[in-house]
Amino acid sequence: MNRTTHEIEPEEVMAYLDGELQASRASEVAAHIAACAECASIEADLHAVSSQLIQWQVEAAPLSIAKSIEQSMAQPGTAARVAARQRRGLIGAWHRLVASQWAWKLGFASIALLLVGTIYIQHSPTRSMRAFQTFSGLRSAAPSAPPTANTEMSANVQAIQELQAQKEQLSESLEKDAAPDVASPAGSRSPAPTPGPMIARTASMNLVITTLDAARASLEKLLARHHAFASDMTLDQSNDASASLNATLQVPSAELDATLSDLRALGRVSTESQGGEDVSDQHVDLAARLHNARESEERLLGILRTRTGKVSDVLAVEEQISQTRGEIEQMEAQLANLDKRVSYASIKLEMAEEYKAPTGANSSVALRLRNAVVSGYRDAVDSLLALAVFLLSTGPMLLLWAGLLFFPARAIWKRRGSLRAPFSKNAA
Amino acid sequence: MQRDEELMMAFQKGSTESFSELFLRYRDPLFGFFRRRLSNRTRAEELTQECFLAVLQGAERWEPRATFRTYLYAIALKLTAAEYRRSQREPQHTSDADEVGQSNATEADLGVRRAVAALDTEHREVVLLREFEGLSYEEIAVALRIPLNTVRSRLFRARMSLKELLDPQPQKLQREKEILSTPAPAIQQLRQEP
Repeated sequence: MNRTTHEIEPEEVMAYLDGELQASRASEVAAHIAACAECASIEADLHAVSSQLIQWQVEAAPLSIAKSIEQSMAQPGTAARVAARQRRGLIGAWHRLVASQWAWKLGFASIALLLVGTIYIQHSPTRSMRAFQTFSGLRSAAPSAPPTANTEMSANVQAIQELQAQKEQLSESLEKDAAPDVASPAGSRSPAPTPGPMIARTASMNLVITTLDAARASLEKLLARHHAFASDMTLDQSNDASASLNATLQVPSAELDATLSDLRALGRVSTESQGGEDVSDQHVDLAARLHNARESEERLLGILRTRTGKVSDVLAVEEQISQTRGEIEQMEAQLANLDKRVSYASIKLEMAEEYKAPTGANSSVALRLRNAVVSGYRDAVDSLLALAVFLLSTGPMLLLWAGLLFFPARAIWKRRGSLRAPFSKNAA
Repeated sequence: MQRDEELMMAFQKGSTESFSELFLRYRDPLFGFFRRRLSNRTRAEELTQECFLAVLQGAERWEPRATFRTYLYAIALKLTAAEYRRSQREPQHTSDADEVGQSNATEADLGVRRAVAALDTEHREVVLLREFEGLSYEEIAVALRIPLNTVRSRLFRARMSLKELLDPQPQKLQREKEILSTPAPAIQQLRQEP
């Protein structure tokens, strides 16, 4: 039968026989069957199949089934328990919610969303930036090892904050002492003792890099990112030796650890050292001397204002004032320099290419082979490291998704199993 | 007569008699469902019990979103699928009951079974649910979680396949009869000889 030209499809004839058509359509199909020999033949075939299938009869259910169900029904409170669960307000609603497939789907979706959101927030650049801002907002140095974990970072930040507070307190105290205080009695007066250490941090690092040009570009970006600068820089790219770069970097003390961490990423660290000079005593001593000098100057100025002696005495006082002024300015410069040393850490950086054969025509075969071996080895190590980093960074996420998708996948698998309903060829 | 859904809701409200009525209505059809799909009679009995117990235990969660009959056969289908998976893992044992059941089968009965068993799984399940469980197209679609049009097309193809499998093919049989009734030349020669 040609389905494209025949007005009634064979399936509709079947649906008509099964009583699955609407009344209007059923009457149309009935009229068509009466007039169409092909459809009448299909109708007869379908009737024949159904009548033959009816011959497959099975025995009645055994009574033991009824007994088993009756026993279950006879258990005290079966119906009452069902009814009670239905009637209870919140508990009933909870049971209905648990029974709802949509509730389960919604629950799974919410959990997945929550987990993804948590992971995103954990790795959010905004969060990192906030931590960076907190860290870079501090101007004092902290004598600590480079942080290797969040807890260490937090501890360092806290220590730095404490030092910063102490330094501000000290500065206020010194400024108060340095200001002309007419009410205070004349005489030698020591400034307030320094409440905490002031550390001028230094570091040095030797790096072995692949190519100097790329490393230099990265270094410049790094310096801009950390608000640092190179106080001096020497570049050596002569042909007969490995290209190298020596530089002294001035980095805000609060950025030192982050800068060192970024520097390590530029290449392989061959040597690294960090140090710190405690300049607290020096600072306090200088501040006290400055304070005394300012008071001496005040007293000399007072003598000059109320001069009653000889001209030679006046000249002597003026000379003394000039000398004292010079000392004050010198000490102020030293104090400023000391503050700068504390605020800015110094990094001595040496970067050299790992190996570099002379690129002239005189390079030997052995040297080129050596370079090839080194290059191959480094590439292999880099690939392994990249693989390990990839697995470590994405492994937990993959495990999470595998765990989340396991149950839905299993449910789908089971559903497919139920659709492929089993049937034994030896069925009774 | 009360509808199945009304009886189920009455059972939810505490009427044990309602469930008994449902049990009486579906005891034999459900046993037949399992019996036609499993070779082991004992397992068919057990699964019939399990199916009713599942309805009993899940009664408080039942909602009249679909017909009770669809709900019941959906559970039965799941139990059958689980039984099938279990039988794949464990070795098959043929019980005495099976042999008795087979020995009681008539020739026509066996012919129908063989024809149905020759269908592929998807078509077989649709035709069984329609012909023996009496489910409507929509109920089959819900129970098997397939579209309504798929039910219709599968059912038609299944019935046409069964027609071919059950039909003794009159023309072929006629030809075979003719061949058998016609003596072979050698036999004809022998017959013609005095």
